[in-house]
Amino acid sequence: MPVELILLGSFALMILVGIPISFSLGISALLSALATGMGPAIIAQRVAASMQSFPLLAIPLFILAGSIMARGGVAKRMVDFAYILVGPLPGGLAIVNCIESMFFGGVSGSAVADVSSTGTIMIPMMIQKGYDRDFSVAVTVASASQGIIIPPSHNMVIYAMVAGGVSVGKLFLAGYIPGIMLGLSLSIACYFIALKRKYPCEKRPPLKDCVRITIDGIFALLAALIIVVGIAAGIFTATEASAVAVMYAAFLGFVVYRELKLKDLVPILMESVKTTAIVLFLIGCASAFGWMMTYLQIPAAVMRAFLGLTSNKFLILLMVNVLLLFLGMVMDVAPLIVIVTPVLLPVIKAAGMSEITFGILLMLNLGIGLTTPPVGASLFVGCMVGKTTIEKTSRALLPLWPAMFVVLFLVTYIPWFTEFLPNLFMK
Amino acid sequence: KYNWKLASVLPDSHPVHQALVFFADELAKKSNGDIKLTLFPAGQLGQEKDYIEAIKIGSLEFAKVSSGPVGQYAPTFQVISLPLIWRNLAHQHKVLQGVVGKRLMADLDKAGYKGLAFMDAGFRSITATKPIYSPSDLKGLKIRVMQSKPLIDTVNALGGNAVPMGQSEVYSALQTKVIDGWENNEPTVLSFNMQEVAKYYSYTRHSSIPDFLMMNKRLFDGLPKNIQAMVEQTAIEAMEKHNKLWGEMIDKTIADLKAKGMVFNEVRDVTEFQKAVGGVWKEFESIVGKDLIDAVVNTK
Amino acid sequence: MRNAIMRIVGRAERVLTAIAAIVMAALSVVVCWQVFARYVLQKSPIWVEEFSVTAIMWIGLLGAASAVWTGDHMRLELVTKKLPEAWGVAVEVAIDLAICAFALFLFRHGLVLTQAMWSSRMSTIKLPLGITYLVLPIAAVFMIGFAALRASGKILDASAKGKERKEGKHAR
Ligand code: NA
Ligand code: NA
Repeated sequence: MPVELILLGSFALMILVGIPISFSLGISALLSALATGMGPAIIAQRVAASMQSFPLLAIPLFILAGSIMARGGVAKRMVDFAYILVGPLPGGLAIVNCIESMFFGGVSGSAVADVSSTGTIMIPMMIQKGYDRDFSVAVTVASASQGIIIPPSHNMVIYAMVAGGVSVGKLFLAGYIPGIMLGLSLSIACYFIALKRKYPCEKRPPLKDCVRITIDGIFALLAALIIVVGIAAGIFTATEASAVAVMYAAFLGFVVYRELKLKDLVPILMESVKTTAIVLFLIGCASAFGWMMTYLQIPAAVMRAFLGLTSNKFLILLMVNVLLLFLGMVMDVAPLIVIVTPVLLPVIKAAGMSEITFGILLMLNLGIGLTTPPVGASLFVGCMVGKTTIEKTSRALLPLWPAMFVVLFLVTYIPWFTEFLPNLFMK
Repeated sequence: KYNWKLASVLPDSHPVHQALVFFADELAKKSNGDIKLTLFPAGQLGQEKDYIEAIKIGSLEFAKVSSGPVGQYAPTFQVISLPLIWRNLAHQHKVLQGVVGKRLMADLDKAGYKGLAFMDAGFRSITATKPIYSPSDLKGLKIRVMQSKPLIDTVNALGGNAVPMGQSEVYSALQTKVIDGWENNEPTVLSFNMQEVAKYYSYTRHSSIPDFLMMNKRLFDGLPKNIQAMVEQTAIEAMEKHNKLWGEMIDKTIADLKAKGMVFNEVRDVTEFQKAVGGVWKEFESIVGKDLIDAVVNTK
Repeated sequence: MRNAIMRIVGRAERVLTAIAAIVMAALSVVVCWQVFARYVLQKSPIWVEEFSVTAIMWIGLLGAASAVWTGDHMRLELVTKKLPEAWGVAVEVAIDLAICAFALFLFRHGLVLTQAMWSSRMSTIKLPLGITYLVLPIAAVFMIGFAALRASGKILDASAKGKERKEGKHAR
């Protein structure tokens, strides 16, 4: 049996049987490593060492910060405030969720960090206001993809290097319009879904209450401001912001609102660490699986098979998207960028697309890949913090994916969206 | 007959990648196709630290890595990373291809690796949002460095504030001014387009850490003698090819960077910098041995 | 007897989670300290990054082990839900055994890695690099124990239920 089949086949079989996804990834990687006759210690090494990444820190710390805010009365005040702005609008909170990701994406390059931080706050609040749990998780997961498209984005930096010195500045500028389009497209989808499912909207409370809620929420809102300003002013990096958020959340909960007691910290920490660990272990096992995919050169083989099918430029671009979406479903973003870029870039250039546009296209596709089963880091975090299953969230994502595909389609075939800003500011 | 892998972090768009292509092609040619070496560039198989470990546990056959992180696995290698220890590239070639190089390879052998060749990586200098003329200009500047003790100590000794940080975060960190600069050679500046966010390149030439081609020792020891010789010889040829490519590329790179708005300057007095890093040498004497440092310095 | 074992294992799981939780709390303090030191003291603590990435690894693996006991690892339940009960138990036990097998591998090769890297040093913290990998065998031991106990628990439950049903039939 070819080793490629052992890797993919055993993985598919194991997740269908119900073996945890992390172990399915690890075991299939192990089986294929044994089949090639290579020392299998590499699988153990990948599982452990791939967690040794400083940017990954954002997951545990943002989840912790979010839990402290949720328990310490901070999150409630944030949402109360958001509600006086958007309460009367159908799907208001879902739309807030999408818009929030635009701002978070504007300071962080990580979609997973967005789900970790705002998911812990937004999901419980949406549920409390009458939204379905699965839909709340789905909106959080989908909107977070803006994080790697709206600059800054460390994935774009990786792409720029692999593509041979594409200007990171231009890429960053090119990301704004598609990123915002993604947020708007999802917001519109949320509006109609909310209308159809009759999610409750409330009349705005009287002005007196609005003022009270705003004043009460000022310190809570300051949390968001501290993070955004702190990163923009260069006081800390987006990763370090997660630790600052933990401290500020604790300060608010203990000192300002006094809704938190020392003994509350125990369940908060115990729960956050469990959520985090499950996701980290998944990331580790997915990295072992991805290592074997790369080692066996499966992405390259898939690409060759796909690209041989047609020479029509329109179809080639379509095919590249399908290909990227497919690969994004089973592998993580960064390894895919370094694998597919050298192979696809010449093809895409021949089809008349610029390397800047392709970079954004890559981010969009791989960003969507973060939300899809069986391997999607955003999806994993969303399901963990939202306490729901992958099946249910995937079903809730069904109407949201088309909203993302629309943006993908527009960006693929209309270069203006990616080229306008770079041409305006950096010739 | 032999199916091997070689990993490196440089993308295949980088000029010196051609040296690795040459290495693979030559091995195939000389062995009449018995040796098939597959290249995994651009960090497809992970970070340099991962390669070094994968080679040790036998999951990877070859890697080209910076000799900086090798120092974690074979301590005497850290002598290479000492600040301002190289007078010029010719000095470095003479040392690393001579007795001292042999001694380092032997130490590496004891650590469980087979070393093949050192390959030029030029000199590292400081790139910042302002020009650096003397160590006092570095005062209070936050300079990003790799997670490497000798480099961290060097930047701190020069008066800067060394901030260890992963490469993919550097661009954004410079843009938001979390850091004020970083240090690297010219081609790396260009491949990340860092001149967009830190446009002054000051020739501190504080260190020169060549790349290093290494392989799994158990694999090498088990090869027939003629194949062993073939691998060693071809590695030397690849090194020569690499060094030639490097030399040709560096001038072009500098011209490119200048065209893109980067401003280059020499430092005022290199002895000021030498004086400042004396403590770092002292500190590493206990790790790499004073005799080794002397042997490097005294190679004429 | 069985309840006593379950109680002890439950306690072990809590302790394991608590250790990971303490590391996580330390992590947030340490990273804030880094920001503070860089600005106020004008000196970056150079060990923070290496400490942090090692800590994440420990959190991830220790927490993953305790999640084996509580059954929190994410999975698809498309098939298991639709199976008849006896088959369901068999599949559940098989899943635990698969976890056991992978953990066994992690244990063995975690030790290999720890050993292979023991003579190397971390770059800024002068500790053996092997320490970072030591968490693999430690976490794996817990995974093996937890998964094996869960599997045997399920078998015991199922056979007890089967006996009950049989006796119920006789009574009727
Ligand atoms: Na971003
Ligand atoms: Na969101």
